[in-house]
Formats: sequence, structure tokens, C-alpha cells
Amino acid sequence: MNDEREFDEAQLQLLRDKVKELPTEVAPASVSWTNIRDRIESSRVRTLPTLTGAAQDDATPSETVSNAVVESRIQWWRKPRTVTLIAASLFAVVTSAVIMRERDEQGVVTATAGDNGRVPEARVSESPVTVAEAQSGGTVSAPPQSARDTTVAVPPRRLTLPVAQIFAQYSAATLDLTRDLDARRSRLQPEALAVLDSCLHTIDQAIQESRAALTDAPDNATIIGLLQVTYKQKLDLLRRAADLPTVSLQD
Amino acid sequence: MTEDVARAQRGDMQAFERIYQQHAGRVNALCRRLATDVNRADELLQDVFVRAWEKLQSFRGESSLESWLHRVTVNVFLAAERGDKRRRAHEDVADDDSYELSAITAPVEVGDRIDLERAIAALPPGARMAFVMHDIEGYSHDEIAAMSGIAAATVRVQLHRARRHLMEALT
Repeated sequence: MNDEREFDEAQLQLLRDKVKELPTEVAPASVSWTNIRDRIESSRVRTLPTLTGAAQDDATPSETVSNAVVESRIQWWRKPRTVTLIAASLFAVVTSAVIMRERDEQGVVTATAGDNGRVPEARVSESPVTVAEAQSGGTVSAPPQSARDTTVAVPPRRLTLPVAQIFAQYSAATLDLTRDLDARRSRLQPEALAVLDSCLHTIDQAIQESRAALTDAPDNATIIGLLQVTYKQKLDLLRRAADLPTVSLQD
Repeated sequence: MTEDVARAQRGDMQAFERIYQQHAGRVNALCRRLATDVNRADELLQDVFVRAWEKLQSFRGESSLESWLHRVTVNVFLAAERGDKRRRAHEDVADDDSYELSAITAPVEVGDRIDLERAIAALPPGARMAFVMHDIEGYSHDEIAAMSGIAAATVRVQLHRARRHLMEALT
């Protein structure tokens, strides 16, 4: 569809002519760079270990030894970013434990999907068994007729609207960040990438468990709250992943 | 990928400053037209380059650095608008239908560049962004959609709306 056909050609041409007169560049305020640099430097202020003379001598003479270059020489597991990644992972583990306890207290089947999407034999609680949601393509434990569980394929139960909105919002937000990360994978330092992937895997498991728990208890405020926080942790982790150090950029 | 970009990606602040000096004028022109006043434009410019520093590792050289900086600008602008919108509890930036010409109390003078800038500043954020990126910066609907995460069809609608209001203001 040609949107321009709806307009008077003379008017449209007048607008185009006015646009051509607009400057392509506008000089920024003189203080802009100073403010930008200060904000960047303040975000890079960290408690760094005292540099030895050897570390300073290792710096390439032709390069400016910035804080980032100095920081890259610190053992990767001591870097604040890595510590944050590990902390996020530990939080996800704690979240998972809380989820499990919540479900046990509600007397639901504590079935958790494994890495291959199949749910192992579930522990049957004292109260009537309910069906837990599995990952798409996976299987869940159906309400057993006997004490022995069987695994059958069942469609996922529809979640309540507010929770579904949470899923949609965070899924959209993490998707873009995940794509950026995937595009950078081959350039990231292996040690940092390994820590990141481990943390993401743990957080994703916590998210899956929360979602599964919500199918049986969609109004459980504790689980909903934990799910939101876990999603936020994942977002924060992916954002911080953009700052992970890379291997040499030289072709 | 230029040497300055590669060095800045490794944390060289002086290299990043050279990048800033080279591109700040173009980026600032874009910021001036996306934001509604000079102060907000200055803030947007600073936010853009701070964000560019943070995200520079994601620049792979597949597009020009200028296009990449424009993408960062659009994203920072839209994020700020969404934040403002949440605080004002208004409708969505990309789909807003309400628009009042009250900000323009009199037809702009034909041939007055500054008044066109003012007329652009008076547009709703979504329409303003679509017009600036398409008719001024020269990006296609699909490119704007990819930059902003807004559907190309919505970009077309917003652009049409912006042109209509600007032409009314110019006559």
C-alpha cells in the first residue's frame, strides 16, 4: 500500500523540502562527553586488588591501560560480574527449594521435569494427586489409579491470566537478550561462558518448577512472587552477560 | 570494524571518546528530534553513549557503526518513553491514538526550519519516532521495526499520522 497516495502531492513535497533543510548534525553540549565519561567510570569503580609491578609491566606499551584492561587480568572467578552470576544461580537454587516445599505443603505431586523433558516417577502425596504441567513435548504423571505412577502425555493446563501475562512479558524480554548472547557465544571467554550457562540452566530449572507448581496452585502468591523474582534474576543475568569479557577480536 | 571500535570494545576509553567525537553530531541531531526539548535531548544523548559503551561488545560490524548507534538511540528513547508512560499511566507509546494539536497554537511559517522542528517535537512519541527515523534519517519501515521492536504495520500507521499532522501544521 502506498501511504503517500492519500496526501496532496504538493503538500507532501513541501514537507519533504522542509525536511531536506534540516541539519544532519547538531553539535552536542560541551559538557556532554565529560558527563558520559564520568558515568562510565563511576560504573566501573570496583574494589580491585593492588596491582603488582609485574602486572603493570605486562601491559602493552601501545595500549592505554584502562580499568577494564586491568580488571581483565584478575582471575575470572574473582570478578564482581562472576560473583553476581554465581549469586544469581544460588538464588535460583534457593527459589527451587522453596517451590518444592510449597508444593509439598499443598500436597501436590512433586514431579519435576528432567533435562529431557520427561517426568520421572513422582512421589505420591497423602492427598489426592493432581496433574503437574510438563514442558511442551514432555510427559507428566497422570492421576494414578494405583500407588504406582504411570507417565502419559497430557496437554498443559491453562494458567490464570495474570500469570500468563507475567510469562509473556518476561519471555519477550529475555528472548532478545538471549539472541544477543547466542550471537556472541563464540567470542566469549570459555570460563565466563561456562559459569553463565550453569547459572542460566539453574535459573531456567527454577522457572520451570515454578510454572509447574502454578498449574496446581495458580493463586499461590508465594510461588507467583518467586516466579517474578526468578524471571527478573534471569533478565539481570542476561543483561550482565553483555559485559562478559571476550577473547581476542583480531581476525 | 575500525580499530577504534575494537580498542573501545577492549575497554579503551580514549578510543571510545574518538568514536563519540566522530558520531556525536549525528546522534545528537537524532536525539534532538526524538526528544521534546533540549534538556531531554542532552540526557538522551548521554544515555545513548553510556548504553553504547555497555553494549559495544554486541557490535559485530555487520552494519555501520552509525546505524548501530541509531538503533541504540531508538531503544534508549523508547525505553525512556515507556518508563515515563508507566509513571503517567498513559496508553502504549506504539499504539497511542490520542493526539492534540494544542501544542501548536498557530500554523508554522512556510520556510521556517525551526518551526518544523517544533512541529516534530509536538508529535506523539510513536509518530515522532516513525517520522524522524523514516523521513529524516532514511530508514525503511522494516528497518525501523527491527530497531524498535514495533511492528512494521504500526510504523506505517504512525508515519502516516505524523505526515498528516505536520502537513496540516505547515499549511
